[in-house]
Amino acid sequence: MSAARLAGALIACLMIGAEPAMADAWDDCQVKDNPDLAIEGCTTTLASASGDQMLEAQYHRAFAYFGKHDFYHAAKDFTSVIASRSIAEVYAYRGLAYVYQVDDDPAFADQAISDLNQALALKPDLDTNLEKDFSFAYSVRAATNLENGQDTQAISDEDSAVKMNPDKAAAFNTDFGSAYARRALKSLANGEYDHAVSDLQQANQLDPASTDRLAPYLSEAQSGKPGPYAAIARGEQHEKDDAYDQAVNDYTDAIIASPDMAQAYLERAEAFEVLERYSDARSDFDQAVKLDSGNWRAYYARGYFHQQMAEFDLADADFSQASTVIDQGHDADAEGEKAIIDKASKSLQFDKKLEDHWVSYLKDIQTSNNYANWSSAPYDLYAGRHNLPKLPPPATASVAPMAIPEPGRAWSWWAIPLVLLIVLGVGGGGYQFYRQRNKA
Amino acid sequence: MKSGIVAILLISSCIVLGAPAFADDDIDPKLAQQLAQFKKNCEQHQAQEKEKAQKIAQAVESLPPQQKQEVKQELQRLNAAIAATDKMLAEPMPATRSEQEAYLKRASGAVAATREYESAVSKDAGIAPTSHMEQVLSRLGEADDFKTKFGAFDRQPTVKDSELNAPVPVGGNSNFFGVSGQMPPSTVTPPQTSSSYAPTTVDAATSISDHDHGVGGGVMLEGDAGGLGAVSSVDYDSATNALTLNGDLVYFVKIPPWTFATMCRQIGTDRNALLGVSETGTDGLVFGDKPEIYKDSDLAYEMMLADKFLGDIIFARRNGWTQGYKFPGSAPEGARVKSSMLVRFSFGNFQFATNDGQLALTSSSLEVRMMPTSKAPSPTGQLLPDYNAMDKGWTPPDAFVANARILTDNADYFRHEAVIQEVFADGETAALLRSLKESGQDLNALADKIDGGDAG
Repeated sequence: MSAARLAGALIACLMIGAEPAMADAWDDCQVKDNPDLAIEGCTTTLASASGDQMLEAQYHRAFAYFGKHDFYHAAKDFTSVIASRSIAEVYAYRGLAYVYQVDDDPAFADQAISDLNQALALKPDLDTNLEKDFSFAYSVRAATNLENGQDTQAISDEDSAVKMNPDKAAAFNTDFGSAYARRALKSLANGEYDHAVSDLQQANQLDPASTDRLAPYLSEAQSGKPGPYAAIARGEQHEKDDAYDQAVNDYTDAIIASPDMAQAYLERAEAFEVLERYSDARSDFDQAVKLDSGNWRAYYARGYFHQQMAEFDLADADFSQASTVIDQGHDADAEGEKAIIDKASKSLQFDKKLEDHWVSYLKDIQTSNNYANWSSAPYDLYAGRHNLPKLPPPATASVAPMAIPEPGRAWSWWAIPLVLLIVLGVGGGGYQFYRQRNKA
Repeated sequence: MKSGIVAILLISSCIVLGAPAFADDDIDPKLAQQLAQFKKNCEQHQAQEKEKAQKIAQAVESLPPQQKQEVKQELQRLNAAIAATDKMLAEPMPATRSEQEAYLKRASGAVAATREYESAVSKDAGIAPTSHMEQVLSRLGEADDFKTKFGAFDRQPTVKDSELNAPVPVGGNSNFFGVSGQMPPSTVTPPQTSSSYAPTTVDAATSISDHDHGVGGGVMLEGDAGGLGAVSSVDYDSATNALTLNGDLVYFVKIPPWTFATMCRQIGTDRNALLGVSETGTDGLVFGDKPEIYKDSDLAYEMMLADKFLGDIIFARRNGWTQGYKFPGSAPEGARVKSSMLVRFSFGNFQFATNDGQLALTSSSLEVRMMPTSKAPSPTGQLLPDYNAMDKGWTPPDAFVANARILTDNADYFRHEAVIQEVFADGETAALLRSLKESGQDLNALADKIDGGDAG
């Protein structure tokens, strides 16, 4: 980064005699541990900067954005710097900014690798730690290439990823195996059994942990005849195309072919849920759990469904059961699976708390007769949906007895809050703030 | 899981800076102390009201006969009110947080109403107001036509109870805390609400993300108090939950004092005076440098309820909270999305005007925005906009935009929903506090004053 240092020295000279506010902005721009301040300072500097000063401010701001994980703006600023100077590290960091966006768009992998190559061309002894992070771009590009049928390039990218970052070899292999499995299921759905067999075997080889899960797919592909797993694969393809109705038909085909197949019920239940056919979803979730009570995912999925339906106790029971099943299974991924359940339970508790507040709110607006925008008494509507007792009808509105007879002057508007006051103080009545959140 | 994915995609709020405890009935010691102090404040004000009632009793003897009779009757009412409040204050503090808060709202409301009424009786008894606050209160009492506008009291289109002296139902603008909810329409112009759906550009998303230190959708209370100039002094009157600005301008606060104090601390502390929440995430999201200041407060929950309610409208969640809600015109329609997105509800543009010594809100706005979110979170776990998607012309599903327009085209209708109204009140208060902060007022000191119950 010697070029940057030189530019910095130059700018420091230029800033002598500058307006104090600009000097402050420039100081802020160079701050390393406060990206917000640096961005503000650099932006202020850039408003009136030109030449090297502009370049330097863009350089600092790019790193500030990078530090905030705002890789879009970081890449933009790095690009501005590159337009004026070819600096290896700037190419490398722009490349990394692309790497960190591959989850949003895998196409960034190509740009990232291109920048890495440019950086290495400028500086062959580039920091190896920087290089290591590009392994993720190679891994993502490997999966994309495989999906596009460019197997040779895919395998080459996968090899590069593993070579650059051996510590992550297992994860890269698992991801590459998943890419093979995805392609296999697509082939199976399309009746291309030989391709499916080949890809499934590759998937198993790269990720042995997937062998059990993929075994029935492989078996069906090897038979060369369409069966329930081909139907499930078709359903998944239809879901990707947002064709959930057709996916439901596919899963139904799977159930017809194999009536005791819990997975088919589970898949169909989730498709029903997306289609907002909640009653059908509920029925299928129940059937999936019944058919495979040793599958934690079935409990987890049903628990999540119950959570969405605001059936919190049922959701809690399912998450607990999922946890128990995981404990009993002692499988290799137990820790990760438990983490999923723990997170789900935490989310459930929050949703439940929020729902409690909502229920209190509904009670309060109903009690205070403040629900003009509702089709009928809102808490009672809620209670009806959740099999809860309705609220007792409100007492007939009446004025609390006054301590004295009506004065000759007649009531002033002051009397109204006063009546409220008395009603509140003595009889309670219906004057409630929803914030009261009384316990049900 | 499919269902999980769908849920993740639709974020009706967001930025995780803290994990709200939100334990409804686990009273944290600070809040417990705050609530206990508020009860003491109420008791002190009760004692003051009793003294004032005695003064009225003395003054009334020198009035002309007919007026004397009227004021005596008013005094009897005042004493009855004081007795009722005494009875309420004699009750022990309930055990749970929610019950305590409910109790204190009733008690504080009763104290405020007593003070209000006492002010009118004092005036009729010929006792001159001794403070600007009392002058303002006594002027409010001149709204003698208020009773005949019974239906207008809570701005309901129709009178709900034709009984002349029936108690006013909670609703419209009247369910706010304290005096502000009991003022006649003549003294407070109904604020105008403008609202809009704003497509989000990269520049807009950048600006929001920079200001909020990320994005997360949700309910954001934004902006300062338009129309309010520099403020050189602030006093708090705990009996009426009101501020006196510059020694001569009264503002009746529309939220409970403990929420007001919490808001003072958040706005006074945060570098960008952020106030916003999202109901999504594992356990909710609270914006700001130190979300712990308000993450488990009523204020945060109130905004989260609004966020989920409004989010249910935008995303047309069939199993959501709007089941049974009457929509103006067409009901929201659903859509499926394939990438993560959020909706952000910004309550802002709070404009104020002065009217007979009072500072009152004249207008405000609600802006709805949607934007795609990146899968790469910020270093502190906040969401970030997916700028690349916006660059490529991302737009939300047409149905969601149409749903947003149902909301923005009918803002006044939705404002009748108490939870939305409350959030507008929160936003109004937040805007005022930001202006006080900009004027150099120490909001943390003000919060201490509110907690301590110092009279202005």
